[in-house]
Amino acid sequence: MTKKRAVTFKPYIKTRYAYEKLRVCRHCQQFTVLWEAECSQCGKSTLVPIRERVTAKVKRTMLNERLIALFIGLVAIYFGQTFLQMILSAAAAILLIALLWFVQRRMLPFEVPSEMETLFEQEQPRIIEDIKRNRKLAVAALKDDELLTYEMLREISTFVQNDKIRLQQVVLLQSFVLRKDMDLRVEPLLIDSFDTDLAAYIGEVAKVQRELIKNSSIRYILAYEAHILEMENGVEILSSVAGAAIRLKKYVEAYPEFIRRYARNIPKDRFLRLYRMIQQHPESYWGNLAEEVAVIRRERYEWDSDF
Amino acid sequence: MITYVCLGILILFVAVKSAVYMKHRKHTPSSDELDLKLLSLINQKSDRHD
Ligand SMILES: [Zn+2]
Repeated sequence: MTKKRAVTFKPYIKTRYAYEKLRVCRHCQQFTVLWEAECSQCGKSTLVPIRERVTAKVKRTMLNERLIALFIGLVAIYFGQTFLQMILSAAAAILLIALLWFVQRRMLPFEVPSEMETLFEQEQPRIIEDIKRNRKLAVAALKDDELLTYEMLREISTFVQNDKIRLQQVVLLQSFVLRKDMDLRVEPLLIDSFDTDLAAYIGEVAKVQRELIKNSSIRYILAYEAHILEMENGVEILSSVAGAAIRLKKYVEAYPEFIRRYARNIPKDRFLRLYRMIQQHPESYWGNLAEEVAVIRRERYEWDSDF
Repeated sequence: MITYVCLGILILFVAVKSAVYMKHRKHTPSSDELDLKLLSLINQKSDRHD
């Protein structure tokens, strides 16, 4: 195994919606999902969030409509035959333009999402193309800076959801020393098939950030248990996931057999937690787990005052 | 005469524009729908190429 690097991730800014991370260049119209200050295509600092761009466009269209209305109004006034007619036309024109402006203002919050939807549909090929360009940029950085590549892929994976990009991230994560304070993730990186790097990654996360091990990660590990056992540190991976699962009673109840199989390998503090959980809830269904725990306790912790 | 025609056109213009806005309002997507739309547009193609 290659030596792991100690790194600190740039914080990942979570947005409520993915599209908030999509920006477009006002100058050359190139899209990007990365955080660069200058457009990689034209080099100008003209990148703006997509919503801002669309809002500006909608406001511009609305202004044009008001200008057209104003022009028609002016023609009406110009051709007025009497002074009174001109005054009345002017009043009517002002009233109508004000009405249009009022409607436009009320409709702006509805018009912007509509226009965004249209833009996504029309620009689909270019958005895909530009995200691919982002990805190429990320892969190109790999030689000098694996951390940067990972951070870029992490941003891109907000949009691109396939197993290839998930595995690329997992492989990179496996080249770093994982720590408790890191902004790690497991669920978004799970794939359908078995992968040794992913299994090893889950095993490591189970050690440093137990709370990230949830139902789907446990299910993944369980589904490929036989494959994992063939790995060099397979038992260690399975044991740390079992240890992490003891975090919540619902996981122990859902996977008692799995936890039973690795109960002998989990550290004392995890075992103590499991032991107490079973003691406190004798009414729950633990299967053979309760028995196994009792046996292990007798064998190893008979004289331990913690139990 | 032209004055009346122009005012007529102006009324029509404002009415049509308002109607179009009302129509958009009815079909405007929520932020969640917009997000799903974008993600599905991006992923339907990129999956095939990768
Ligand atoms: Zn540009």
